[in-house]
Amino acid sequence: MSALIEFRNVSFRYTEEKDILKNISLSVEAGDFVAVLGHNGSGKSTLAKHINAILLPTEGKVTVAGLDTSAEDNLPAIRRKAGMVFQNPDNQIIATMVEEDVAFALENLGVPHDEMVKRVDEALDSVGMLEFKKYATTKLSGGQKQRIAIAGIIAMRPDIIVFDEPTAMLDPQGREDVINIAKKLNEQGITVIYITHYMEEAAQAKRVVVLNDGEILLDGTPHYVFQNAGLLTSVGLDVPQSTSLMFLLRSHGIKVPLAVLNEDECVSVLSDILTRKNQA
Amino acid sequence: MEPILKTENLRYVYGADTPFEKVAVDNINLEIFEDEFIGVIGRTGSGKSTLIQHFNGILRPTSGTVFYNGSDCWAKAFSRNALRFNVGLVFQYPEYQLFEETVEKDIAFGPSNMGLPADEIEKRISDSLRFVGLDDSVRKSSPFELSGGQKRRIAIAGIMAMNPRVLILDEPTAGLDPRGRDEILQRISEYRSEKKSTVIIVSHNMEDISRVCSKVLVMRKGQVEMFAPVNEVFEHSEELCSMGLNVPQITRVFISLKEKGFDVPSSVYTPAQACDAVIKAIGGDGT
Amino acid sequence: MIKDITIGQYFPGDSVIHRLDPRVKIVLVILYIAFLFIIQTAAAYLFALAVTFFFVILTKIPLKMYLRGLKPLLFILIFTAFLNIFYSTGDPLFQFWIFTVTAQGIKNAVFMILRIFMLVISTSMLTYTTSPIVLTGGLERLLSPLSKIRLPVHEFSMMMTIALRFIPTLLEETDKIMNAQKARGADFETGGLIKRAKALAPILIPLFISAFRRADDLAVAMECRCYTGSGEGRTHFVTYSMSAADYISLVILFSVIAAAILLNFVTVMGF
Repeated sequence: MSALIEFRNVSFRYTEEKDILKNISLSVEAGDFVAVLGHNGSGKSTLAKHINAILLPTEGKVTVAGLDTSAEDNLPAIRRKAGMVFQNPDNQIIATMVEEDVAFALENLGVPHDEMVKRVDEALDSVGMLEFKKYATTKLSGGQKQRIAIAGIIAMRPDIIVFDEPTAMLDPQGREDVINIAKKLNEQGITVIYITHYMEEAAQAKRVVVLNDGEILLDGTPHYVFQNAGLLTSVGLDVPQSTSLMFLLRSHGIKVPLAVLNEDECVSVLSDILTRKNQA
Repeated sequence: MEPILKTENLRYVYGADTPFEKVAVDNINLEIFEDEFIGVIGRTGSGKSTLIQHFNGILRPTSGTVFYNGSDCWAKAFSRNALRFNVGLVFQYPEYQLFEETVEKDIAFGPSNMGLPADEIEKRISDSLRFVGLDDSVRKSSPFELSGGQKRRIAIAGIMAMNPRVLILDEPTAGLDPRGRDEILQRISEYRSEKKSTVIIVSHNMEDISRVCSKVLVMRKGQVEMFAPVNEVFEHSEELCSMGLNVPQITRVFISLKEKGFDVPSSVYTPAQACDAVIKAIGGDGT
Repeated sequence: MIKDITIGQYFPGDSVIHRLDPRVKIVLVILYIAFLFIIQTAAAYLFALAVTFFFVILTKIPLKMYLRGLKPLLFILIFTAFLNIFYSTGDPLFQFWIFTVTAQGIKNAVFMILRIFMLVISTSMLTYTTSPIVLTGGLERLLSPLSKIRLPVHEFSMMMTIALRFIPTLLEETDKIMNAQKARGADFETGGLIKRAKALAPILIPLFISAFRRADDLAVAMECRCYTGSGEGRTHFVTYSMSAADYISLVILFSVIAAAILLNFVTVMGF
């Protein structure tokens, strides 16, 4: 039995000149939360678009739940299993009113009306936008629009949601809302593929895949990946400030763990150092 | 010394007399001097973008006055076209304003509107390309064939080419990856130190601002909340945090430590400052 | 500013009129317009006016908003009134220079103004109280028999929906691009026709590029949400079931029209 998402030796190019993906092999198990981190042009969005067959591999094979994305007959099934949230919130909203937009996929799938109403409300509730259901979509903020777009995907009840740089155009509040929703959906059992260049967001995933020039550079837990601070910086990425601080403290001879990613971990490490000194 | 930009009781109302009326900025009294490097920060809807669009006369105050170099920008004799050349404004996602067939023609749009002679325009194109870190080989390319980050830089060059005394950039790093962001910020810094012009950057990102700016203007609900040098603003980091601003991760760490009763400053905002603060707190170099 | 333009603007609300079935509303407005062209007597006009105001009050949208829609028509109104007053045949009331003012002329002018006035109010009422998507949905349903004769009703309706969705977005974008070019010293206000036409390139080119990019993105996003391009097998989120209020309003309007047609034969004060 193969994994839920399986890339086997996938290469992709638009023209003959340059490979955007180079011989990528990757498998994602059901229930995982994989952040794909990489600079602009690293191929991360291209990778994402292979999962629901917007792009097809030039070489190699992608399967989703065992379905080959290259087989046209599989397309409807793949699109239902793997939903996608795009970067620009404005360009993926179809309807003028919130609830009607969320219902769009369900209309296409021919879901009966009563069932549709129920699923639209549930989806809006799960992104915290239920009270906005009668609003005009154009009157919402970028972050709110993105939450509507997510609701439109949730309503389809997919197994996988691919987020293709969902926060690149949002303000800090909108970004936080979106990553939190992604985490919540993952807890509910949805497999999440999250494309981003914000390391704070990647640090919250279960697994981080770093892409560079179409190749997988690092693959592992966030703690493992961010320990490679030097390597990440050399390919144009950042590490969280807390991680940088640990590297600096180490260079001053202070013994601290390097695998520190978030605020809480950093506070507890620093509290330890400061307490030890007070006791001494 | 005369401030280069000044506002007096500036107030702007969107959609006046409609059901959608909204006060965007109110009671703004500011003085901005030559050679200052200012970061404007605030949440979405705090009035940042509205404020800066008054500085080059795109928006007309509902009430109050904006002065450029001591003159009222909306006085009868005042030329707002000239103002726009003196106060260059780079809008958010400026790459969406590119329209010419070649990079050089696009950059030349501003300078030709100024009525400059051809050889001067040529010089401006070369200079501004250098400022944004692109070489002359892109001059004949179509701006639409370039990468996103390069397009952004071409658009910024288009404003720099007007040689404004004040350069304002609205979210210049939005949507860029860390490398693109660092590059743009550094280029802007270099431009400023060479040109000695006033630069104003609007950003959501406190980290960006703290890295390059010397002064921070904090906007909140259409009003000026703070306007002070960077380190002074970070003295109030708890307040910034409670205003829902995106303060650096390391600042939040130190606020938490302080709350836990440790004797550490809460005004750190870079890992290097944090490292120094920790070493100082444990007394010595820790070995 | 450009975004102040209100094309088919919708005022969200919860009035009786808002809640009516869009199909009923469309039919009512068409009937009402036909009716406006039938009536000819002062009594009928007064009656129609009363009915119009009654409906305006029911929508709970201020009359001011309706009158705003008349502003662009002001010139046409005055012009047609002028023509009617001076160029009607009938018994002259008084004469000066080459003009002859007749009672018939004044009557025609007043009726004409009232007719346009009510026409604008009734059509505005339809767009003010019906969200664009509900409106297009209603139209699609009303026109659906036409798909039997192979007219692309679903495609037409989808195009309308997307157009309505993107009009505000593109207006806002136009505004932004205009401001960005103004910041580079672009001048849209002065100069002759050719200069002004040329000045539009810096706005139109970025706008078209952006519109195409949006269209591209949207097409992919729609496919990802299982859109296949045909109306077959689709269900509809917005359903239209005729409520008591719908039937009542149909009955009311039919009786109103009947009454008005009767009034049409009654003359008041010789008009």
